[in-house]
Amino acid sequence: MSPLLSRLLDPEFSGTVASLPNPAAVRRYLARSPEVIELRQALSTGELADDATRQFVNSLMSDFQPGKRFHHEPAVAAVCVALETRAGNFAEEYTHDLAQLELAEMPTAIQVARLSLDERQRLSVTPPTGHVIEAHQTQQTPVQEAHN
Amino acid sequence: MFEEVKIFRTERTIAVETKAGRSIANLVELMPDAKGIADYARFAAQHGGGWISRTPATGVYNCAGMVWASRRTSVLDPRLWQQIIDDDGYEWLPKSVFPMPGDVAAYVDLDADELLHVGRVAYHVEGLSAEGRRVPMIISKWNSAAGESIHREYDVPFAKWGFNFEIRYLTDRRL
Repeated sequence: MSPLLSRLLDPEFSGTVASLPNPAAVRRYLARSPEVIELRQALSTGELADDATRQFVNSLMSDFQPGKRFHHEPAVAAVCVALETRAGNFAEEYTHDLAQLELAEMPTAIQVARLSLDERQRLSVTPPTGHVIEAHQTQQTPVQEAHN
Repeated sequence: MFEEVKIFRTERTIAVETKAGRSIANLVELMPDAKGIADYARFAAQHGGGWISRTPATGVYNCAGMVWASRRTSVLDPRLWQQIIDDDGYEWLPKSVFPMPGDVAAYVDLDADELLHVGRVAYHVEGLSAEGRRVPMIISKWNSAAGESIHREYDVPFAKWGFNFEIRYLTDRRL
C-alpha cells in the first residue's frame, strides 16, 4: 500500500478528523492537511494510480458492519477531498456514489462528499446534474419563497 | 464504488422545523461502540483538562441537536443552523451585553465565515483578570459521538486544529 494512503489510517490523523464538530469543518480541515494535499498531488501527477486508491477504499469498506459506526470514515472522507478538484471518471464516480449513500454508519464522510459535489459543481469540475440530495440541500418553503 | 453498502438505507431522521415552519434536515446518529467511547476518552484527556464532564460519550445528537432539537437528533449542516437562528428570532448580542444562562455561544470560523460549533451558556464563574470579568461556562457536545462537557468559553480545541475562530453570543431574550 502507498504510504500516502496508509497514513490516512494513522490513529492521530483519524482521531483528530473524527473529533471535528461537523462535516463542513471536516472538509475544511482535510483540504489544508498535509495528508490530503500530498495525496491530491500524487493523484494528479499519476504517482498514485486511481486503481490503487480504489482498492484501498474497497479494502476499508470490507470492514463495514450495518448498525455500527464505521471507523474508517476519516480516510474515506480524506480521499474524497483529495479528489475534489480532479476531473475524470474515478473522481466523478467516487464523489457521486459516496454522496448518494444513506447510511447512519458513516454520515460524516457522506456529508463531506455532498459538500465536495457542491464544490465540484461550483468549480465546473462536475457539470450540474440536477439530481437532488435531500439530506443537505436547503429547501425553500412557501414562507421563504414569499420573502424572495 | 461502494457497491457493497449501497443496498443499505440506515439513515433515520425525525421531524424538526423552525418557528417559520421550515423543515430542518437531520440525522439520528448511532451510539458509539467501545472504540468510539475509548476515542472520546482520549479526546477529553488530550483537550479537556479544565472541562467538567456532563455526560459520557453518546450518539444521537450533535451540538446543534443539543441546542435546538432537545438532544433528539443531529443537525449536521451549519447552513441549517443559520436558518434556525433566522427563523427562531435569535439576536446577536452586542459585545457590551454580557451573555446570560440559556443564551447560545456560537463559535464562528472566521476564514469560512460559517458557524463551527454552538453551545449553551450554563452559568458564570469568576474570571482571573484584574478587571474581574466573569467568564461564561458553556455546555458543549463536541460532535455526534462525543459526550457533553462544561467548559470556559475559550477552553475549546478549535485553535489547535487550525481554525481561526471567534465567539459570539445569540439570545432569544428581547433586549
